[in-house]
Amino acid sequence: MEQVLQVVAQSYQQVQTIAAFPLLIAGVFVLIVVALGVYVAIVARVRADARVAHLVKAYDTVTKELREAQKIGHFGSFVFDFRDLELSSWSEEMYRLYGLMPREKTPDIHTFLRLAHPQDESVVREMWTHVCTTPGPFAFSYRIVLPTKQVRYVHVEGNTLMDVETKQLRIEGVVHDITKEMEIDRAKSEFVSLASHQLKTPITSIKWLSEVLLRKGSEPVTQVQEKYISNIHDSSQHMIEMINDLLNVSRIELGTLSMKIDEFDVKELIENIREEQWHAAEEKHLTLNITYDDGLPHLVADRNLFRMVIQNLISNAIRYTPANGTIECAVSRAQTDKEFLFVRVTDSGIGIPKEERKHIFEKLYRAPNAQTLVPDGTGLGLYVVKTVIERAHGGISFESEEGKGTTFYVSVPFVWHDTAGVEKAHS
Amino acid sequence: MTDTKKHTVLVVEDEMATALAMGSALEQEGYEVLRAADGEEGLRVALEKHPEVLLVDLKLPKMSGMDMIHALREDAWGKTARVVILTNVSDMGSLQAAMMNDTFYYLIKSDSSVADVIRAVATQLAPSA
Repeated sequence: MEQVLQVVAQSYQQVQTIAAFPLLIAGVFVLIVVALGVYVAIVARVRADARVAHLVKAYDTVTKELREAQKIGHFGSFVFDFRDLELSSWSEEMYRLYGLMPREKTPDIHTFLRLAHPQDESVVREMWTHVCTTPGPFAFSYRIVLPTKQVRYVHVEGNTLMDVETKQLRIEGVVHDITKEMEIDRAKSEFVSLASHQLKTPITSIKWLSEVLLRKGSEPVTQVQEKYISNIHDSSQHMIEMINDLLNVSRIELGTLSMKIDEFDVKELIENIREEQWHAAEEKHLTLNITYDDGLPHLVADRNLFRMVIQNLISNAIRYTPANGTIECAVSRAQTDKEFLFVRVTDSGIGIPKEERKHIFEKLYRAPNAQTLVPDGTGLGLYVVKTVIERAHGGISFESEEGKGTTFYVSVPFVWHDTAGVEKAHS
Repeated sequence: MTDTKKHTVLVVEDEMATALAMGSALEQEGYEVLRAADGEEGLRVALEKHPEVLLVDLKLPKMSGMDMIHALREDAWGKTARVVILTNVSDMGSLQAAMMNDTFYYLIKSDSSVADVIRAVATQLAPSA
């Protein structure tokens, strides 16, 4: 028995001796693997930390640059997230624009309404209601009154996004301080108004004095004097039309073209234009026929703007029709829609070349054949005419054949409504 | 044509050439023409001479046309004086302000002829005016 035990013990020792070495090797191997793993993990962690630090630094830099950009550009950014109001935010510049101190809790939508100028409040309420309920882009301008009572003009622009799953909205936008631009626009508008008045006053004097000289009650003038005085009159009339075109273009560009609605007799107004343009037509031996439908209702519109439209069309017809030609103007109630006045002006003039027709209503554009016949011209008339007619919710179109003549078709409602103020607030 | 020999018209206009043109044309039509070159003089002549029609430019020295008309309306006679506003003012704001509490016939000078001025005076003198 002892011998057996001794053999077993000896065998065990032998096994132990034999097994120890591989175990040792395995152990060392495991240790190496673990050490490598730890090393890789530490390196990865260090790299990750470095990357995070780099990203944080980059984020801080970008945030700082954005803050500076907003400060320099006088615009702030905002987010309203109705899925999670905690995600709503205002940039620093937003607080400054609205005259508020930065706070932990982002101001809500009502802040925009609370600070709106009383005169703009109802339009602003309508706009923000639309923004908060309808996905899509938005843009509008209005006045705010700061806590210091200072009035500021702001332009708000952004996008309302809808979450596909929750149908909740998220509003992202920017607010831009446009007070300076509005003041510049106002100054420009005042300058244009003053300049046009200063220019038109002496020219009106010249025109009227020439009319007085040509009146029957004045001392007789020779044929040559009559011709010269007529030319003085026509030139001054032409200058007034050019100034009016420039003034109207300026108003259109500045968004200050407003309407003064008045009721007037269309026939009386157009006959007045015919009287004014008669001499220019007579000089070229042009036949100018104007016909009117019976019982035309009065127009309830801006008299001066409507006058400008008809005057432009008739004076263009006279200008671009060679001697001995004809001009026909028909004024009627539209056949398809009785609420519209319809005016057709047809001439036997130089016509508009086919390739030029798409440009005819562009600002400053003049067709080459028009420039040859009448070198001086602003190219503004038809641009202003089209803008005014569209503002009145009317329409203008034309047909033309080069060398044969042109017909302009104008339709305007009998009753005009000036929606420009509302359109500006909603734009 | 209206019997114009009995009618006086006051032209209140600081631009000499424009005043001359209007005055000459009205005299040719047989009106007696009074003239004033600023708002103060216009008001004084109006209250003194009681012209039947006043042609008043809006932009005047010393007293604007609008102020002159407001002062005129405070007078018992001036309340019902017939006024035609003449202006080259381009902004409707000033014109609308002038017409705010009153109804005026107005002419944009640069868009009108001398014949329009004469017609405006005749309209004011017509029995229904």
